[in-house]
Amino acid sequence: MIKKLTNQDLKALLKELRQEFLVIAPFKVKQGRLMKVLYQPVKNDEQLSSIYLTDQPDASPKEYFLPRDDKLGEETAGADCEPADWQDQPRIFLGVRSCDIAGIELFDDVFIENDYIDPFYQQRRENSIIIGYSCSEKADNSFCQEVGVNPVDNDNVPLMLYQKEEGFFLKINDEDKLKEMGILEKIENLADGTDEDLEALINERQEAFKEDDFTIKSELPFPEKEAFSSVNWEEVTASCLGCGVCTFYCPTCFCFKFFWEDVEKNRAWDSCMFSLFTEHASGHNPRESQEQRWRQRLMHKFSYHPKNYQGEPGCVGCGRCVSKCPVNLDIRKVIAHFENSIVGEGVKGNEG
Amino acid sequence: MKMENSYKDLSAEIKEVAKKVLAEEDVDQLLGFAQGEFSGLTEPVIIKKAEQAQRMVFTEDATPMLSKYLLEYKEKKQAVVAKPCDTRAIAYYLSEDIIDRKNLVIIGINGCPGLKDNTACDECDTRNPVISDYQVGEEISSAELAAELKGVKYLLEDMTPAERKEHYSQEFARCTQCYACRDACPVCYCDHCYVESNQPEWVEEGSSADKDMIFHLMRTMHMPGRCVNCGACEMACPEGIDMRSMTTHLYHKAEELYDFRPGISPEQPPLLSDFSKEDSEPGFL
Repeated sequence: MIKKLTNQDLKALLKELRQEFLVIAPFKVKQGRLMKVLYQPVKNDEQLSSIYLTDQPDASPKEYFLPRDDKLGEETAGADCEPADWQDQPRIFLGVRSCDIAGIELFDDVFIENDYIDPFYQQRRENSIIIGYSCSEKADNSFCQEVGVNPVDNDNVPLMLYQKEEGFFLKINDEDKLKEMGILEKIENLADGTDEDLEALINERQEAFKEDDFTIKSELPFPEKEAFSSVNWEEVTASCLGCGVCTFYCPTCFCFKFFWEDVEKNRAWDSCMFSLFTEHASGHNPRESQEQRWRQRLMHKFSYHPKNYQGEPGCVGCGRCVSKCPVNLDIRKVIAHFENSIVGEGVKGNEG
Repeated sequence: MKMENSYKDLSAEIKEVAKKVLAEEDVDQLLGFAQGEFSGLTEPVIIKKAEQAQRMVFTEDATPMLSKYLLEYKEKKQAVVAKPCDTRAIAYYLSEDIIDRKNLVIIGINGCPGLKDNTACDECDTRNPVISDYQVGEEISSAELAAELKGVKYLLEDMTPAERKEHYSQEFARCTQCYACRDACPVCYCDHCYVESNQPEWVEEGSSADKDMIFHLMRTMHMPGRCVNCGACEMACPEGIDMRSMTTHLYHKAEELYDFRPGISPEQPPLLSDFSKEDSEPGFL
C-alpha cells in the first residue's frame, strides 16, 4: 500500500503518533565547531518543524539500541531485569536510511537470533518501529551498494518514506505489525499514491547511484589465511592513530566490555582499535600492533561476520568511518590493497 | 589582507622539494599529505620513491600532525613535511632527546596559511618553522605576525575559573572516550598511556561525565610545558569538543609566568626540569 503525504500531512501524522509513541528523529545540532545531524527524541510538537532529513545523520541510531554506557542492573537480579533507562512508551525512529537499517538488522542477527538472546537489546528492539527513508543522493564516502545495501528502497521496515520535491510517498511494508502497534488506523485515511509514481521516483533515484570508482571484487568471506600471510597491513594502515572513532561511529560495530560498580553490572562500548581490547591479564597482547588491530576490524566485517552469518557482510557502506577518521584513513583503500595483495595468489575468496 | 602563502603554491613547492629530498638524501621514507584515492580527502601518507612526490599536497584540511608519526619510525631516517607547529613538536622531541636529529630531514612550511576551522591558528605565534633543513613558501616577518596577533585573546582568556569550570563540564560531557585527542596530539607520546593501564586502573571503566572529565584533566596535567598549541586534539575530536580551551590556558600561563614556550629550540630545557628560585609560584593553575 502506498500513501501520498504533503509536508503538513506528515507533521500531523507525527503529532498524532507522539500521543502514544516516543518519536526519535534526526535534528541539526551544534556541537562546538561542528554542525551535526543527530537522532534525538522529539520533545514537543513545535520541534516537528525542525526535523532534518536532507543529509545522512552523523551517527546511526545504534546508541538507542546498544547504549554507550548501559546499566544492566544488579548481578543478583537475574536475566529478566529491565534496562535502567527502560520506558514502556514504544519508540518510532523516523528517517532511518538503508545503511542504518542494515546495521540494525545485523544487530538483530547478533543479539536476538541463533543461540544467544540479549534481553536488553531484545526489549529495546521490540519496542521500536522504524520508518525508513530513501536517499536521494550519495552520502560522502559511502559505498553501500558494494555491500548489498539499496539506498533508495527498502522493504525490511514496516514503513518507508520517500521525499519528493513536494511532499512524500509512504510505503507500507508490514500491515500486520502496524496494526498491532495501532499505527495503521492513523495512516489508512491518507491519500493513496500509485505504484507507478513511486516506481518512477525510485528508478530515477537509482540512476543517481550509478557505480563509482570503488568496487569490491572478492567474494565474501575474504580468505583468512591469505589475509595473514600475503597482505602488508602496516603499509596501508600506517596513518592509523589508534583511536576508537571508526568503531564508535560504525553502525555495525557492537563490541562491548562489562564492568562492575559494586554489585551493579554495566556494559560500555569497546573497540578493537584499542590495545586494551585484547590485552591478557598476564600482560601478553595477541594483537600488539595497530596494523594487527586494523586487520581484525576489516576481517571481522568482511570475513568472520560473513562466515558466521550466511555470507552477510559486516559493513553497511555508510562511509562514516572514513569521514569521521581524524586522518581520513579510508577503508576502501584498505580493501583495494587487500584485494591487490591476494590477487597474485589466484584467490577468489571463500577458501579461508 | 594577510600576507601568506597559498595552498596551491605550497603544494607545488612541496612536490619539488619532496622529489629532491627522496632523490638526493639518503632517507628511508618521507611523511607528507596526499589526496585520498577514493575519498579525495587530505590524508597523511608515507612515500619512499621520488616519483611518488607528485602526489604531495598541502591543503586547509592538512590537520594531522605528521611529527607524531616520526616517533613511530624513529629508528629510520625520515623526511617530513612540517607545519610550523610540527617543527615545534620536533624541537620539543629533540629537547627531550627522544629522537635523533641525524635521522630527520625537515621540510618546513614558511608563512603557514593555517587550517580550516582550527582555532589554534587564530592565536598561532609560530608561522615559520623553528627548525628545518629545507623550506617552502615565503617567510612571514615578525612585524607582520605581531600585527596579526595584536589584541588576539586565547580561548576563555577572560573567563573566571568558575566560568571556565562550567564551560568545561558542558563541553567535555560529550566525550565518548574514543581518545582521538590523545592519539592526534604530537606530544602525547608515552609508551604506555595511563588510560591503557588497568593495574592500577587510573581511569575507571564507563563513560559518565565525571569519568570523562577525569581523563581530560589527567591529560591536561601532562600538558603544561609540552603543548605546542597546534589544535590537533580539537580537530580530531568527532564530538566537536572545545578541546583547546583547557590546554591553551596552560600554554599561555606557562608563557606568562615563566616566559616559556615549548618547542622553540632543541636546546631549550623542558619547563618542568628547569627550576629557579625566583620562579613565581601561583599555585594550582
